[in-house]
Amino acid sequence: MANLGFYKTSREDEATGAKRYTVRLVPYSVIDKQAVVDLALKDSNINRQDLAAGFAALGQAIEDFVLNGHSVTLDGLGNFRLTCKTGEWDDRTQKWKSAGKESMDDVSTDGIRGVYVRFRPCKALREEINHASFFEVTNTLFGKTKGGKLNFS
Amino acid sequence: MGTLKTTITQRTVPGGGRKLYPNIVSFKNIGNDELIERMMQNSGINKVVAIAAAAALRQVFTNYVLNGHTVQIPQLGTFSLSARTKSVASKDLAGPSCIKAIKIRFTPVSTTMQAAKSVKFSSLIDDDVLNME
Repeated sequence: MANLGFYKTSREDEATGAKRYTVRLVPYSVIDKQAVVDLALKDSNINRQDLAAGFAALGQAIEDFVLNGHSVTLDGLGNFRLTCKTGEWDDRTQKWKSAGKESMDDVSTDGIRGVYVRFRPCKALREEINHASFFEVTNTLFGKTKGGKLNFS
Repeated sequence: MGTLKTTITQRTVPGGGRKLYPNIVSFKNIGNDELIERMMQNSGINKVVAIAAAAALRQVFTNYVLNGHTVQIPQLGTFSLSARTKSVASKDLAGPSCIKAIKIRFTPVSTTMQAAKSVKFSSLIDDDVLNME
């Protein structure tokens, strides 16, 4: 089950100047590409070199399929696919405006302003996150957290 | 780089009414088996290694991403968690109830993001309008 740390933080409300409190998730660490292979080795019975090659092949294969217009579903993980953001650049206002049209004849791919790779986790993962348990963290590597201000004492 | 399949999507706009937008759709969904085949073709690894890598990815995800770590997967991207929260008036009231939703964020590697900028589009399919909310 997902178990997430949070810390309390505060900010000033721009309108009233009053202090408002909220929480943020604690980012424990960044596990880089090398460390991912080391961690995965613990639960795997293949050697380091093969596992590293396998990860690289996995990433490459997903990229190949997705950039050629397919979606890729990994069982127990989720789905990778391309999505797009629409908009038309308005030179006069120097802003993006809606690419929505009344007639099909006016719709063109010029209205696609960006293409992005998206990941949607599978239902099991989404449910696990929705039922995550939380614990408060008051000490970080950089000191105590106190409403957003870090003390180094 | 391939050509992406495009279509026209209908959406409701603020204030009522509907407008038409260009959209991209997938040619087909690739499942585990086809993905494993491609991994073996592209890099010469055997099936056991390919399956183990896919299983290891799931394991790392469950053990680390879901417990708050940011994980970089080689040649794929970075997974992390983010939370949408609300604020409260007093520090004592701040807690897990402030968390409205948690999302898994995925940032692809820079080469993929760059490649996505130079994709081509097929011509729009005029008679294929999808209704969307």
